[in-house]
Amino acid sequence: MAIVPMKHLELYGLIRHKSSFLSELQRLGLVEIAPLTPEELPSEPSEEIHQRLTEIDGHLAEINRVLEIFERFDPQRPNFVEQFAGMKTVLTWEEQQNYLAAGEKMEELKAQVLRYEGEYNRLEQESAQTEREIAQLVPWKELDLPRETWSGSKRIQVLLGSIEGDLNTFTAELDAQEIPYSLKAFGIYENRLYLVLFLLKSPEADEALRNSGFVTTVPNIPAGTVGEYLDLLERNQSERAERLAALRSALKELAAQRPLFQTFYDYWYNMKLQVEANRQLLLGKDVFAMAGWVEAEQAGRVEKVLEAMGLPYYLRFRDPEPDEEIPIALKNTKPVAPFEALVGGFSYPRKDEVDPTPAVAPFFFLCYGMALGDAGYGLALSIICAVLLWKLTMRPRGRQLAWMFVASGLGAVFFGLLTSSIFGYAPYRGLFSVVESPQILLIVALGLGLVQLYVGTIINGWINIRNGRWGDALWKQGFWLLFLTGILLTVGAPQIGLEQYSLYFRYGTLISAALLIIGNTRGKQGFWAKLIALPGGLFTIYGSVSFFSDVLSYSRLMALGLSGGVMGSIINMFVGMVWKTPVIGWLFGIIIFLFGHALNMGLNVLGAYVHSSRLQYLEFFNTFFTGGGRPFAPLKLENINIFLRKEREV
Amino acid sequence: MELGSLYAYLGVSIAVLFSGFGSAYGVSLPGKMAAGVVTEDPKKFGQTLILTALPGTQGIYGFVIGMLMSFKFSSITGPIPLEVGLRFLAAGLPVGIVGLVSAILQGRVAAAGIGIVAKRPEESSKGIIYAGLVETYAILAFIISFFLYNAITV
Repeated sequence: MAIVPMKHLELYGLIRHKSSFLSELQRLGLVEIAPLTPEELPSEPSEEIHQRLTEIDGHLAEINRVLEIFERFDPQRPNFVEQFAGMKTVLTWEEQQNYLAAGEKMEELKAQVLRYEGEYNRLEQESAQTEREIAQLVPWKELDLPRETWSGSKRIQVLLGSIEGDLNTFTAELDAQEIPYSLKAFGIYENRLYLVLFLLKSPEADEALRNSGFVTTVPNIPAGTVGEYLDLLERNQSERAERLAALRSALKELAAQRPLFQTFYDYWYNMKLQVEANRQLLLGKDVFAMAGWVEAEQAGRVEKVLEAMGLPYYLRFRDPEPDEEIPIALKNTKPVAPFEALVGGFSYPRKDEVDPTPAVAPFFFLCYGMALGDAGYGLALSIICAVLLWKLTMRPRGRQLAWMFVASGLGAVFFGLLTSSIFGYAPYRGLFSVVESPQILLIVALGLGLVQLYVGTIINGWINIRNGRWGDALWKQGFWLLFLTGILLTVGAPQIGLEQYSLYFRYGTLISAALLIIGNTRGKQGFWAKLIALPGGLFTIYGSVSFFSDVLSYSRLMALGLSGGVMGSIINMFVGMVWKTPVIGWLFGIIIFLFGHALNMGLNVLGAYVHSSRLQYLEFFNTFFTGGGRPFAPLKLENINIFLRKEREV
Repeated sequence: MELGSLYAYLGVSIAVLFSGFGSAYGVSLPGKMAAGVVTEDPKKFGQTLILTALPGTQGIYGFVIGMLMSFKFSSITGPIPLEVGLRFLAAGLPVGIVGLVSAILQGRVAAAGIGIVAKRPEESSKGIIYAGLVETYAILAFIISFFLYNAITV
């Protein structure tokens, strides 16, 4: 129910067995292997490990390439939920084993996929190129002179080309120079008129041609007429299109093997983790040594499993040294555990701190309930998350978050029932109405804030006591609480009918303030040092301003609850308005109700989450928690693409 | 039109107008970036959607205040006195103006948060919290607008 106690572990074994040990430890997933200290690092990195990693990276890159090809030819379409949760492939254990046994088939298919894709890309490129070629040749389609005649005869030159502008101006130019010619025009393509020109070979003719703006373009064909060559190209093109279609459908069909490749991707990924773990082993001549951490409760299990391997080894556990940094794992009772996700989102505690999860859980529950504030929305949220948990495969962190929202939704149900708010309707008289008397909600919100911050301060005191700093607990947190309570009573005495005692409250406040200032001089040596520390104590007093502004920060719960509530009732008002319309009024009413409340709920669920977390992270944690612990990260099998069905049933 | 009614109407429009403008602009900033991220990785739609929606709340707060105010003054029979009209105007100002500014600034933070989603999706909840911090001031303005509105007696 707190930070899990860890044991330090040392394992020695024969170097030739090290892969078996690592693989077994990875399968077990209970041991975090500590990195080598700088002195222990070998002078030169192992060539063998480097080579193996390069090889594995090669496998991963190839499989990834195949998966990308599948995605290109047969894209996976995530449904609405998967848009948010991501897509996962779920297999049974048997399926996974069958896939892993089909390594050869995988290699074969991989080669095939890569080959097909290579061909596809090549054909596609060729096809685009031919397309361009065709576009260039199309103007000459009607030219019935074969390639061989284009060089002309001794006296006559054959010119293929284009002019800009009018044919008449062009011929007028030639006529003016009295040059004999004959021509045939083919039509205008991209603003240029294409034509074939037969001209007497003479310097005058060349001169006239230059001035006329005629540009020679010789179509690039091997032989025959342009029309014949175009036919050939188009035949090729349609053959290519057929082949491309065939390749597309073949690849699409191959994409059905996606799980096989995903399984191998995960396999090689985990192999990579295992090989990387080799770097954390200390190697002797025949013996390797490994240091690490294991949850104290699991130490026995690790020992048993290693023993069952039947290989020679030596295993030693010890408790962590006082100043040793240990990895942090949290363990809490079932109702509280989901809120670990919230703490993890901020930071893990250091080992001398306490796990804040059990304290965060009830307050987040209440904050969320108040901020969402509607039983209908709360129930809908809980049900949605419960269904997701039931239907969907998630990583542990995702499951925790989903459970947290199930619980938090129930908080809103609780609060909505108290204030009688179900989808913006108030079917009965609740304790008070959020929309009608939000002042009460404000007071409740601030009250919750005050309680939570008091609890935080008390926890801080308790940490001090636990770590043997009784003095700190008394002088820092004890008198601080006394002082805050004094201020509250002094200010609030008239409201709660304790006016006759207000003088005592005032003195109490002053005395505790004085004690706080004196407390600040603790630990200072010598009279002068103590004297100089006194003004610093005034800052402690000033801290009460920030304490009360933290409390005021909880007013956001009221604002969220109120705006959600008012929005809900406005939606219901619209529904009521259209409901009276005859015949189809009810239909529009239902549409407005569903759409409006879905939108309002979405925004409120989000706002309540953001602001409730913020209250924990900033206001609450400020009183006792800094975090900065390193989360426990055992060597284990990771799921990247593949999830096993049995995990779903846990 | 009576001057009082004019001010009351102005109060409503300021509340809705400014906060609505701010939210629209604020949502557009992460929205543009989110569209960019989704072109690269369509699976990130969900995470980016949350960040994109965040600066939208200011518009809702303005709308809520505007609605409440228009309910209140539509229940008044006869012309609205000048002083009451001015109170409506004053009540609309905080949520309108703070909403405008905070939504735009929150939009910038959320847009930066989209960067977290793109590069380190596992940390995206932190981006959401950062954007949430900016909203605090819109909430405070909403609370004050609400109490100003609540104090208007007809």
